[in-house]
Amino acid sequence: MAKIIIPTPLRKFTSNQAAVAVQSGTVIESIRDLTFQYPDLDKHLFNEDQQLRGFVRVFIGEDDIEDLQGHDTPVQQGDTISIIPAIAGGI
Amino acid sequence: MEVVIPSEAIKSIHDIAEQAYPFECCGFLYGLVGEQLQIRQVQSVVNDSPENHKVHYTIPPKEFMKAERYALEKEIDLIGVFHSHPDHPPHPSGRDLADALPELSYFITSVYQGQAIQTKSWRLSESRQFQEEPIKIEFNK
Repeated sequence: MAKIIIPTPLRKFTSNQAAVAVQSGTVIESIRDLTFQYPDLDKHLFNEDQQLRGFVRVFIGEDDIEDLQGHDTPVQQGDTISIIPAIAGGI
Repeated sequence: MEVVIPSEAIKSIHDIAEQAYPFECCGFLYGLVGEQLQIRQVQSVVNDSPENHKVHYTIPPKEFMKAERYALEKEIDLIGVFHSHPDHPPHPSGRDLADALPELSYFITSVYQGQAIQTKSWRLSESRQFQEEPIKIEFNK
Protein backbone atom coordinates (compact mmCIF):
# COMPACT_ATOMS: atom_id res chain seq x y z
CA MET A 1 0.00 0.00 0.00
CA ALA A 2 0.94 3.64 -0.47
CA LYS A 3 -0.76 6.71 0.99
CA ILE A 4 -2.19 9.88 -0.48
CA ILE A 5 -2.09 13.16 1.44
CA ILE A 6 -5.35 15.07 0.96
CA PRO A 7 -5.38 18.90 0.80
CA THR A 8 -7.57 20.59 3.43
CA PRO A 9 -10.45 21.66 1.12
CA LEU A 10 -10.96 18.06 -0.03
CA ARG A 11 -10.91 16.39 3.40
CA LYS A 12 -14.66 16.82 3.76
CA PHE A 13 -14.89 14.09 1.14
CA THR A 14 -12.52 11.68 2.92
CA SER A 15 -14.28 11.70 6.29
CA ASN A 16 -11.79 14.39 7.38
CA GLN A 17 -8.86 12.04 6.94
CA ALA A 18 -5.63 13.84 6.02
CA ALA A 19 -4.11 10.68 4.54
CA VAL A 20 -5.70 7.68 2.84
CA ALA A 21 -4.08 4.29 2.21
CA VAL A 22 -4.30 3.29 -1.46
CA GLN A 23 -3.13 0.53 -3.74
CA SER A 24 0.27 0.99 -5.28
CA GLY A 25 0.80 0.49 -9.02
CA THR A 26 0.89 3.72 -11.00
CA VAL A 27 -0.05 7.23 -9.89
CA ILE A 28 -3.32 7.20 -11.80
CA GLU A 29 -4.21 3.76 -10.43
CA SER A 30 -3.57 4.98 -6.88
CA ILE A 31 -5.76 8.05 -7.43
CA ARG A 32 -8.48 5.87 -8.96
CA ASP A 33 -8.33 3.71 -5.85
CA LEU A 34 -8.79 6.87 -3.75
CA THR A 35 -11.93 7.89 -5.67
CA PHE A 36 -13.18 4.29 -5.52
CA GLN A 37 -12.96 4.50 -1.72
CA TYR A 38 -14.40 8.04 -1.65
CA PRO A 39 -16.66 8.43 -4.72
CA ASP A 40 -17.70 12.01 -3.85
CA LEU A 41 -14.12 13.07 -4.61
CA ASP A 42 -14.35 11.90 -8.19
CA LYS A 43 -16.11 14.93 -9.67
CA HIS A 44 -13.68 17.29 -7.97
CA LEU A 45 -10.54 15.49 -9.14
CA PHE A 46 -11.69 14.40 -12.62
CA ASN A 47 -13.47 16.40 -15.31
CA GLU A 48 -16.29 15.19 -17.56
CA ASP A 49 -13.72 13.55 -19.86
CA GLN A 50 -12.32 11.63 -16.90
CA GLN A 51 -9.08 13.60 -17.07
CA LEU A 52 -7.53 15.02 -13.89
CA ARG A 53 -8.65 18.63 -13.47
CA GLY A 54 -6.13 21.37 -14.18
CA PHE A 55 -5.63 22.29 -10.55
CA VAL A 56 -4.58 18.78 -9.51
CA ARG A 57 -0.82 18.53 -9.14
CA VAL A 58 0.64 15.30 -7.88
CA PHE A 59 3.91 14.72 -6.08
CA ILE A 60 5.60 11.52 -4.95
CA GLY A 61 7.66 12.50 -1.95
CA GLU A 62 9.12 15.84 -3.06
CA ASP A 63 9.05 15.02 -6.78
CA ASP A 64 6.47 16.43 -9.20
CA ILE A 65 5.22 13.53 -11.31
CA GLU A 66 5.50 15.80 -14.37
CA ASP A 67 9.28 15.46 -13.91
CA LEU A 68 8.93 11.66 -13.69
CA GLN A 69 6.59 9.59 -15.87
CA GLY A 70 3.43 11.59 -15.35
CA HIS A 71 0.32 9.56 -14.56
CA ASP A 72 2.21 6.36 -15.33
CA THR A 73 4.84 7.01 -12.66
CA PRO A 74 5.23 3.80 -10.62
CA VAL A 75 4.09 3.95 -7.02
CA GLN A 76 6.03 1.70 -4.65
CA GLN A 77 4.86 0.22 -1.37
CA GLY A 78 5.23 2.87 1.34
CA ASP A 79 5.36 5.84 -1.06
CA THR A 80 3.66 9.07 -0.05
CA ILE A 81 1.67 10.75 -2.80
CA SER A 82 0.56 14.36 -2.28
CA ILE A 83 -2.31 15.98 -4.15
CA ILE A 84 -1.62 19.70 -4.06
CA PRO A 85 -3.88 22.21 -5.77
CA ALA A 86 -2.58 24.81 -8.20
CA ILE A 87 -5.28 27.44 -7.84
CA ALA A 88 -6.00 28.91 -11.25
CA GLY A 89 -8.60 30.72 -13.29
CA GLY A 90 -9.19 33.93 -15.13
CA ILE A 91 -11.49 35.89 -17.34
CA MET B 1 -22.62 31.15 4.24
CA GLU B 2 -22.07 34.84 4.99
CA VAL B 3 -18.48 36.08 4.78
CA VAL B 4 -17.55 38.81 7.25
CA ILE B 5 -14.51 40.89 6.37
CA PRO B 6 -13.04 43.95 8.11
CA SER B 7 -13.06 47.11 5.98
CA GLU B 8 -9.24 47.23 6.18
CA ALA B 9 -9.00 43.75 4.65
CA ILE B 10 -11.32 44.53 1.75
CA LYS B 11 -9.32 47.72 1.20
CA SER B 12 -6.13 45.62 1.09
CA ILE B 13 -7.65 43.40 -1.60
CA HIS B 14 -8.69 46.45 -3.61
CA ASP B 15 -5.24 48.03 -3.23
CA ILE B 16 -3.55 44.81 -4.40
CA ALA B 17 -5.95 44.54 -7.36
CA GLU B 18 -5.35 48.17 -8.37
CA GLN B 19 -1.58 47.82 -8.12
CA ALA B 20 -1.66 44.71 -10.31
CA TYR B 21 -3.87 46.33 -12.97
CA PRO B 22 -4.04 45.71 -15.93
CA PHE B 23 -2.98 42.25 -14.77
CA GLU B 24 -4.77 39.83 -12.48
CA CYS B 25 -3.71 39.66 -8.85
CA CYS B 26 -4.25 36.68 -6.56
CA GLY B 27 -3.81 35.59 -2.97
CA PHE B 28 -5.14 33.78 0.08
CA LEU B 29 -7.78 34.59 2.67
CA TYR B 30 -7.35 33.32 6.24
CA GLY B 31 -9.70 33.45 9.18
CA LEU B 32 -12.16 31.57 11.31
CA VAL B 33 -14.94 29.21 10.31
CA GLY B 34 -18.11 29.28 12.40
CA GLU B 35 -21.68 30.24 11.67
CA GLN B 36 -20.07 32.85 9.47
CA LEU B 37 -16.74 32.93 7.72
CA GLN B 38 -14.67 35.59 9.49
CA ILE B 39 -11.75 36.81 7.42
CA ARG B 40 -8.81 37.97 9.51
CA GLN B 41 -5.93 38.16 7.08
CA VAL B 42 -5.25 38.74 3.40
CA GLN B 43 -2.04 37.50 1.80
CA SER B 44 -0.98 38.44 -1.72
CA VAL B 45 0.76 35.83 -3.88
CA VAL B 46 2.67 36.42 -7.13
CA ASN B 47 0.61 35.48 -10.18
CA ASP B 48 2.59 32.54 -11.59
CA SER B 49 0.47 31.85 -14.65
CA PRO B 50 2.42 30.82 -17.76
CA GLU B 51 -0.33 32.53 -19.77
CA ASN B 52 -1.28 36.19 -20.28
CA HIS B 53 -1.63 37.72 -16.80
CA LYS B 54 -4.32 40.10 -18.09
CA VAL B 55 -6.71 37.17 -18.37
CA HIS B 56 -5.30 34.38 -16.23
CA TYR B 57 -3.80 33.69 -12.82
CA THR B 58 -2.15 30.72 -11.15
CA ILE B 59 -1.14 30.15 -7.56
CA PRO B 60 1.48 27.38 -7.78
CA PRO B 61 1.30 24.24 -5.61
CA LYS B 62 4.29 25.26 -3.47
CA GLU B 63 2.43 28.43 -2.44
CA PHE B 64 -0.63 26.37 -1.53
CA MET B 65 1.56 24.10 0.60
CA LYS B 66 3.04 27.15 2.34
CA ALA B 67 -0.43 28.56 2.94
CA GLU B 68 -1.65 25.33 4.55
CA ARG B 69 1.42 25.24 6.81
CA TYR B 70 0.98 28.92 7.69
CA ALA B 71 -2.66 28.35 8.68
CA LEU B 72 -1.63 25.39 10.83
CA GLU B 73 1.08 27.39 12.61
CA LYS B 74 -1.19 30.38 13.23
CA GLU B 75 -4.13 28.17 14.21
CA ILE B 76 -6.39 29.84 11.67
CA ASP B 77 -8.19 28.44 8.67
CA LEU B 78 -7.40 28.84 5.01
CA ILE B 79 -10.83 30.17 4.05
CA GLY B 80 -10.40 31.09 0.45
CA VAL B 81 -8.57 32.77 -2.37
CA PHE B 82 -8.97 36.06 -4.18
CA HIS B 83 -8.19 37.29 -7.65
CA SER B 84 -9.11 40.22 -9.86
CA HIS B 85 -10.87 40.62 -13.20
CA PRO B 86 -9.34 43.62 -14.97
CA ASP B 87 -12.04 45.43 -16.98
CA HIS B 88 -14.50 42.59 -16.41
CA PRO B 89 -17.28 41.98 -13.89
CA PRO B 90 -16.63 40.07 -10.65
CA HIS B 91 -18.32 36.91 -11.88
CA PRO B 92 -16.60 33.53 -12.22
CA SER B 93 -15.58 32.54 -15.72
CA GLY B 94 -15.66 29.07 -17.25
CA ARG B 95 -11.98 28.75 -16.45
CA ASP B 96 -12.60 29.73 -12.83
CA LEU B 97 -15.21 27.00 -12.63
CA ALA B 98 -13.20 24.27 -14.34
CA ASP B 99 -10.34 24.52 -11.86
CA ALA B 100 -12.31 25.41 -8.73
CA LEU B 101 -11.92 23.60 -5.43
CA PRO B 102 -14.85 22.93 -3.12
CA GLU B 103 -14.95 24.29 0.44
CA LEU B 104 -13.19 27.55 -0.42
CA SER B 105 -14.51 31.07 -0.90
CA TYR B 106 -13.48 32.64 -4.18
CA PHE B 107 -13.34 36.44 -3.97
CA ILE B 108 -13.33 38.17 -7.35
CA THR B 109 -12.71 41.92 -7.65
CA SER B 110 -13.60 43.86 -10.77
CA VAL B 111 -11.10 46.59 -11.67
CA TYR B 112 -12.01 49.11 -14.33
CA GLN B 113 -9.41 51.58 -15.62
CA GLY B 114 -7.24 50.91 -12.61
CA GLN B 115 -9.96 51.35 -10.01
CA ALA B 116 -11.34 48.47 -7.95
CA ILE B 117 -15.11 48.69 -8.24
CA GLN B 118 -16.70 45.65 -6.65
CA THR B 119 -15.83 42.38 -4.90
CA LYS B 120 -18.08 39.35 -4.83
CA SER B 121 -17.59 36.00 -3.13
CA TRP B 122 -18.42 32.65 -4.72
CA ARG B 123 -18.47 29.08 -3.48
CA LEU B 124 -18.73 25.81 -5.34
CA SER B 125 -21.96 23.88 -4.78
CA GLU B 126 -22.31 20.10 -4.53
CA SER B 127 -23.12 20.07 -8.25
CA ARG B 128 -19.98 22.10 -9.04
CA GLN B 129 -21.75 25.35 -9.83
CA PHE B 130 -20.65 28.66 -8.32
CA GLN B 131 -23.11 30.28 -5.93
CA GLU B 132 -22.66 33.80 -4.63
CA GLU B 133 -22.03 34.24 -0.91
CA PRO B 134 -23.06 37.48 0.81
CA ILE B 135 -20.17 39.64 2.00
CA LYS B 136 -20.60 41.74 5.15
CA ILE B 137 -18.02 44.48 5.61
CA GLU B 138 -17.21 45.31 9.23
CA PHE B 139 -16.17 48.86 10.02
CA ASN B 140 -14.22 49.86 13.13
CA LYS B 141 -16.49 51.09 15.88
